[in-house]
Amino acid sequence: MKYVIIGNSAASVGAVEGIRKVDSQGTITVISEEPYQAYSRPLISYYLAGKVREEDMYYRDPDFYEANRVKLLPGKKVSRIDSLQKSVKLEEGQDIEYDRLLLAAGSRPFLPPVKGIEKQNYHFFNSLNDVKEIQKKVEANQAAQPLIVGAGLVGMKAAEALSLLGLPVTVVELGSHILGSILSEVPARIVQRKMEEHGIRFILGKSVKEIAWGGDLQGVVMSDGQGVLTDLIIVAAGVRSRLELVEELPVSRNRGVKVNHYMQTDLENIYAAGDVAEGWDSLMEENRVIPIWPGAYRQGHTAGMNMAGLKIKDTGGFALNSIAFFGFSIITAGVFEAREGNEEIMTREEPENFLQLIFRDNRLLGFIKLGEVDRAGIFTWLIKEGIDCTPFKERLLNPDFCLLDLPAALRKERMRGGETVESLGCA
Amino acid sequence: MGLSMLAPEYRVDRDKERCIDCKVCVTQCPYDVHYFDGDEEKVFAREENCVNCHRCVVLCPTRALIIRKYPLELRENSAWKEIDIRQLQKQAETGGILLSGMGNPKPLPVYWDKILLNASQVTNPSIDPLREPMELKTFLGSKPERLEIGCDGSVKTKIAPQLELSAPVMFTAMSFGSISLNACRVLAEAAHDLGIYYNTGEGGLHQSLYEFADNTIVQVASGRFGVNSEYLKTGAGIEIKIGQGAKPGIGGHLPGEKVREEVAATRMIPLGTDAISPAPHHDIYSIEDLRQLIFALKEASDYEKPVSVKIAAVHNVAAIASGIARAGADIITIDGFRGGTGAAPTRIRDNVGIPIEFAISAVDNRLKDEGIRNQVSVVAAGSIRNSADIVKAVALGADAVYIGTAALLAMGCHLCRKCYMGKCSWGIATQQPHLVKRLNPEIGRERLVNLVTGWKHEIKEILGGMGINAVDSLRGNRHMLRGVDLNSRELDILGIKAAGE
Amino acid sequence: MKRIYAREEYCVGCRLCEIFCVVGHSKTRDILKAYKKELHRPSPRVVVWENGPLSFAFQCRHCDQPNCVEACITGALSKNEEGKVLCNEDKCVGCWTCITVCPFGAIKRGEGDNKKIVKCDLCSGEEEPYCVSHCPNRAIVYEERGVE
Repeated sequence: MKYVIIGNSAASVGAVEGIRKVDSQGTITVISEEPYQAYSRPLISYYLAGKVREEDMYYRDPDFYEANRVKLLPGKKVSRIDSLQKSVKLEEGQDIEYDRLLLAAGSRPFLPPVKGIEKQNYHFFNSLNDVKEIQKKVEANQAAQPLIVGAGLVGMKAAEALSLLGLPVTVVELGSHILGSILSEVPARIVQRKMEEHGIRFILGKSVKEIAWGGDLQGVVMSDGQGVLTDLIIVAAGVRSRLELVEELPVSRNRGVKVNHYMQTDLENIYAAGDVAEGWDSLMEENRVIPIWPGAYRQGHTAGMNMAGLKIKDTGGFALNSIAFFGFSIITAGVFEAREGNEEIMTREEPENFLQLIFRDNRLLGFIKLGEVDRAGIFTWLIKEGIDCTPFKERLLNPDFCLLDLPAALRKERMRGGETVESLGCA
Repeated sequence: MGLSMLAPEYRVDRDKERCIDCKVCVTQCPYDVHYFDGDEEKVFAREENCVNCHRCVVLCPTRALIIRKYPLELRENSAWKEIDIRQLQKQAETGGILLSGMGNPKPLPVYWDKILLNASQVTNPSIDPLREPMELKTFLGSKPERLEIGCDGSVKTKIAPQLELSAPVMFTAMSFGSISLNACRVLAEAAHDLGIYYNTGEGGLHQSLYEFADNTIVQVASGRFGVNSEYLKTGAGIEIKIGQGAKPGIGGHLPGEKVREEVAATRMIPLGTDAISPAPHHDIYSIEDLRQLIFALKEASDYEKPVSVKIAAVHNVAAIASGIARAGADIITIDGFRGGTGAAPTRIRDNVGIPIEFAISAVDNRLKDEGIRNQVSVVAAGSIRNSADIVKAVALGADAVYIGTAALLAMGCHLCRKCYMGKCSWGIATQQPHLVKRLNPEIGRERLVNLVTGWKHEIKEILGGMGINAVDSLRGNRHMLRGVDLNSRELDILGIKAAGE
Repeated sequence: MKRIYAREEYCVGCRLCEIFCVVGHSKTRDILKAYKKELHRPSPRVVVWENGPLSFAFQCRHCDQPNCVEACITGALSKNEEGKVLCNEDKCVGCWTCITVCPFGAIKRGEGDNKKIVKCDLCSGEEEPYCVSHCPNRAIVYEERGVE
């Protein structure tokens, strides 16, 4: 069996490990645009801030490819997929045949329409190469006033890293509050205040309209006409699934490539996983792209096992995130804002801690936990299992909430724990 | 209330070089002695609360704690000893009856220690129990005067019901209520493992312990708590409790706070009510009345169980024992004045009753003199501390002994004698759930089985040394005993010779 | 595989398990030195939860299908051949994604300057984990129970 994987991040590594659990013989080829072995993409901000070295960013041990007998083709770009010939064509002309193909090409950052931006030396913040370039500029003192477009997870981590390097950072966000993809208004303000305490400046409810000054970047013009000085623009306005390779293929797609429970696209031999795929959201009960790392790994792993001949359904997952700024932690999962009107919201707010829980029919739908985030996974579990929280609902807000607070039968079953735990399906 | 004038009894010495302020002592002390001061970030002690239970000492991971007697020089003299002064001060503060736990601590003679055992030399050579069989099996119950053997060799005499013990030792009556369910379970399981019996005490038998019925003696006391037909039929034997060595002549009182759900259900009384055992059985005012109860219980249990009557060792114990034997009891249990208790008025405990050693010999003599010794077995209780005490008790005339305090010590009791406070830090004499947990029955069972197993080995060794190969041959064999430091009257009553005679 | 199980009915809440977990993971493995001399005293990887008379010691369950390993963004967490879920502290960056997905709440954040996770490693190399061998009441046991 010949396996080919396009992409070399979480889903790809998951697939390799999934395939090798089942098939120790088949050949595996991994094609990667980036010139590195798989590294932890979320660590790029840590790298920029000087918290991790490049060699510590690798997602698996250096002998991973050798140990799993994987042929890694780093720095190679796929130009097209021929599903009839069952081959993948590289830009440099080589054809690679496959029996099973996994699309794990991930996503690419979105460039918003800003007048003049294409001419400018803007940066994304999505790959190791992106931050290496930013790092060079910072080291050469060519980035004294960074401006970050977008206050999502990526933009905020970029802001933190640059701030840790001692730079005065400005963040521009069109939305009314930061981290709009994971936080509601009140906790977002708490996080914003924390970041402002570290010297980060926010411009909310506005966008960058124009980059006005020709060749040498000095500043931008905002949607309200205000000018903001900057010599480094980082665009962090979200990502889009990389669908260019499937455009000519007879596979259905929406925002991502549609897959069934086995991570299979409409073509029997082609699978998809990670940011490129629309996997199953067990909470929303629909297929959608949930671009988070743990989910990508899980989907890749499931895809790999199915590619190797098993018939394993993906458990599905839902959105969850853990992120921290200047040591202030944020964990969220599931739904964080009332949508249908029949939800019940409970909150606990303290100067350094915040907890919001959303229920429907006494079942937890989602939570936001700031500050003391310990044991947040129990909430995630409650969401996943759809457990009726009625007997202990009030205790959920207790800062010390733990398994102790569960009713005896549920607690004892949990305390045995370990053997019966299924994959959480965290995405 | 003002300042208490009581000086602390104990002092907590904390070695600061060793203390790591881990707070184990704080979590473990039920008497609020140790506390953590958040400002100082250090552990301190309120010594006046300390009862010297050793929980903190034993659990302290760095051995940083020593509990000492408080170094207070009282103005003692030969009449006013420290204990007298302290008891008086306490009583002056409270105005109540002084309460005490466990047995009589007064420095009255312990006759076991004045009796020495014999061993064989040259003639009648000693026996090595590791090489030769040694029988400790003991049967308790009424024995026939003679055996009729049929032509075919079968026994034609009808034998009264017997309790079969693998060794002449049992666990004495301690009620569920006075001790925790976990402690009851330890006794039941250990009795089961050892092939002996334990006694429920007057608190009934908890449903979860019915599985150990074959090793259970069920007690019927003046409060009749938990007594029903199932209970009587379940036990291997039945004991009527008339008196108790620690508090002869008075009843018992289990405060309502200990009568939690399980205790209430087992005792068949309302939740939270005081369980009061009257001083007398209100239906027993004569030997004839006692006989009625004995036979009522035999009737209720189809004459299949031996019935014991337990009394405290008091002045005319021999005559009472004779009456009990004639009333139809199969076993007489005599509880000496050093016997323990969960709670007794101090003055009663320390001043009423007689030593068990005298009671055994007096009763044995009397029953023999009257020719009815075979009708009953005699079980001695109250202050049996080790295997040598058992051997001496049997040689004085007992068929078997009960142990109580010794069993509790084996399962973890450190003899702080504060059972009546209900906060036993070892999980024994308490009903508070967080304290009851401290006695893991698994561990208690192992320890108690270890103790009695060790004693069995020792008894065999002592018997072997005497050239005896069965405990039956020792019973009432006072030739094996000699007294030291005893006057001739004491020697006479004990029926033993002085050392050297 | 052998796992640590708490027996809540016998936990006395003394927290000796926490104390000896620290000792077992200290440099000297000597309680006095660990608490009195060592500069960087490790955090306990076991936690005693307590509410009234109910208490028990709790730590990582070393799941057969560990969510934390699946979710770990750096590859620091892995399940070894014996089944132990272990954290490579050189790789952990303290992102707390594992905390987000651990259904038992058994992973702790490091205290103070330690920005890495703290979790049970079953005292690798020891015959019996420290918490188990130092429990005064056998309220923590290390045994094979399998799936019931």
